[in-house]
Amino acid sequence: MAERTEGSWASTAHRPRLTADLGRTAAAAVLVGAAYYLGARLGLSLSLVERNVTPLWPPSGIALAAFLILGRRMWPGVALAALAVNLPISTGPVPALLTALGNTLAPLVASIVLERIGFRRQLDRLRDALAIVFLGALASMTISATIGATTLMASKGTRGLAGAWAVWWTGDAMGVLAVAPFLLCIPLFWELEPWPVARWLEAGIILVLTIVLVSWTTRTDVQLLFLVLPLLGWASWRLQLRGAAPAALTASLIATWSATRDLGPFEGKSLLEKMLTLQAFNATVALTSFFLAALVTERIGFARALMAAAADLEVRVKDRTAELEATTDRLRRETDQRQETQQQLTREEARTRREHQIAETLQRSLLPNRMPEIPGLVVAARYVPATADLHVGGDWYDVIQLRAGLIGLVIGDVAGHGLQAAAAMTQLRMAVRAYAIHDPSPVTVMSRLHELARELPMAEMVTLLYVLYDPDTGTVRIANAGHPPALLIDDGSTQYLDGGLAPPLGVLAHWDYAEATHRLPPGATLLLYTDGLVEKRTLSIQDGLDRLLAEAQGSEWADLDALCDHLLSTLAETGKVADDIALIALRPLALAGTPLSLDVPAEARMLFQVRHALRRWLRESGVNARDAGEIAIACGEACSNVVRHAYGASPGDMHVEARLVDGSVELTVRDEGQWRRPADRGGGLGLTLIHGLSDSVDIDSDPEGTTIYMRRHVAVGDEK
Amino acid sequence: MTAYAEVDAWTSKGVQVVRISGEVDLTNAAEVREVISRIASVDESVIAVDLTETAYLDSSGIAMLFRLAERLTQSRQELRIVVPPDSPIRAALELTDLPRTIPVQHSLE
Repeated sequence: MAERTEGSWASTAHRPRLTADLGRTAAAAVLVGAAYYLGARLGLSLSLVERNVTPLWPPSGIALAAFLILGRRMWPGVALAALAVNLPISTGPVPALLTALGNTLAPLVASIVLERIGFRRQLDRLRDALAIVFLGALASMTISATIGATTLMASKGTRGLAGAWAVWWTGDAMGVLAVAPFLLCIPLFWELEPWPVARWLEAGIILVLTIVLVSWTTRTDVQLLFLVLPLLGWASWRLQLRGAAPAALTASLIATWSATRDLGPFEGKSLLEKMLTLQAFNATVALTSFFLAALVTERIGFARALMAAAADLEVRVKDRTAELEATTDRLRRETDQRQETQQQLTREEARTRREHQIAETLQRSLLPNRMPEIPGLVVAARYVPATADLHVGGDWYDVIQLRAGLIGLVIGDVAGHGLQAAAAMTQLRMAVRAYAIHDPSPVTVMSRLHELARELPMAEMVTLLYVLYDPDTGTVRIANAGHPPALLIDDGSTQYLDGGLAPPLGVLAHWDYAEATHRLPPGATLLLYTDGLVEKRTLSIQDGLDRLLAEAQGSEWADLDALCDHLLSTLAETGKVADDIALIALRPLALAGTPLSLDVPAEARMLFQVRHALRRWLRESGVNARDAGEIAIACGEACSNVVRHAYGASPGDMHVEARLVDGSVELTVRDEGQWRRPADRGGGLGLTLIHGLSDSVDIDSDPEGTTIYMRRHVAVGDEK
Repeated sequence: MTAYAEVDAWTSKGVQVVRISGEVDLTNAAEVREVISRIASVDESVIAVDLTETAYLDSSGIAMLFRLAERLTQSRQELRIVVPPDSPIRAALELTDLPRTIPVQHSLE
């Protein structure tokens, strides 16, 4: 039908299973009932007195075993069978019913109690053997004995309740002890590992021997019933419950049967004696076999557990060992890899460091290692290499002394770092020197450098600032190819010098260079620098320029070296210097108003410097050009004499002083050389000039040196 | 040519002109003389050393001129010196005997 629901499907699918279960249970209950009934018949056939005193009541054991194995829902089978057994032997239906109730209740209670204490029907622990003996048999069967004996006494009106109770109780208990373990062992044949043929054979032999031995000992007059015990020990030891329970049952049955027939040891004994002997035998048989079987089973279990644990341990040890080996292997591989990487890094680092060193050495060797001594001028320079690996590079500065006292100042920056930049810088530096000596004009020098940069395969950008300082005029001429501007530090006006700007060298195909001219007054400072001083990661170049201006303006620095150090310490990045920094400062000393004092080596190259410093001093002091020129010649002659004759081969100094006193220039040239008359020095012509160009000349000679004093009246002021 | 002085030369109306620009002292006098000697080894009979652009000339330079004159005499050439009246070296030249042995004129003309 179309309207059939899932629920109806489910119920139809469910119902047969339920029915089948019920059917199976009912069938089992019927079988249990039948077994109970047969057991009762057997028990009655073993009664010692008129089907009344039964020393072994198998139904109790059957019922308990049924409840333990199949469940307590077998009780209807047991109850009905008990009723069926009791009806014919009771005085009426009520006593039969009561007795059947007792017979059902006793195994039911026993099964409940056993379950409560965690009884295992495998009887494989000593506690299970103890439990079935004391709780399952002895304790629980007091119920059936009490109900049964009381009912019997009440219904028949006979006396001797205690005797009846004792007989009932022992019968039931023995029934449990003899039968229940046997029944409980049956499922073990398929629940535990199956027996090999040899086991079956052994079990058969034990059973046969038991039958033979018990049959014989129960037929002889000699009390030899105990002889069966070693057999039961053997069965328990070798086969545990499965071997011991059938043997014990067999022994008990045969012994009980013998007792009912008054055979062997039971012959001619009183009922009480027979009962005592038989029950003692049955109890001993049961206890011996089950305790021994349980102990052995337990021991085997322990041994197995130990073996399993040992095996498990071995497996775990093996696993762990394998795991450890794998880990060790992996670690070794990782260590190897790491070492290799480390070595590579070290090699790489060493190469980088070497290149860095070469570049820095190259760089330093190419920078002027000391500033030229130019009387009347102070020059200071600094070079700070970048700390980063290869960031040594293309910064350089140079001071070039040119003809007519001109000074060329160069600062440049080849973009890029490392050896290539240092090499490019070298070429440029030499080129600037060569071009400037040939023609110091900024426009010319720049134009030629531009051509060179176009010609040379210098991929890197080059910025360059070239300054030509003329001490005679106190001016600087500047051409700037993309370089940060020169800074003029002066009392009144500290400022960047603009003009003469052009793109970096070689960038454009052609450029018309221009130059700007600025005054560089005595006492003022001209500062050239590279971008490392003003350009930082965290600072825009404009901020950097502002900071430099502020720092330079801030205070007066009498010492140019101190000024350079101050600027580096306040402006350069502390710790890591990302870019190299070059710095050069030039300051014409303010000469006017104070005496001129020069201490220079007595070397020919200084003659030019001395007379230029003197001429500047004379000019700045207002002495007219003609007087100045002639005083310069007189001074030059005196100095030439010192250079040529005072010291011979060993080096020495000469000291030149000039002062303006009352319209006269007083000039002193002193040396610490060996005394020889100037006339003897071969400088006859020079001496003539000294005398001729001075108003008065004094020559002092002593062992410590010679001093020439010259004095000449001069025109001061605007006079030509 | 040298750090302080440059020498250039040309002929004008049969006169070999040699101009010294810059400064001549102990350090470069010999060099300057050599350059002039080389230039003077031409056939011109008159060599004029122009000191108009010479800012400095000391006894070494004057001695150099004397020697040059001697050498030119040997090669039957004549040396003349050109010094403007306001030159700073004129006084020095006049203090020596030079003008008596070597003709000094104010200009090339």
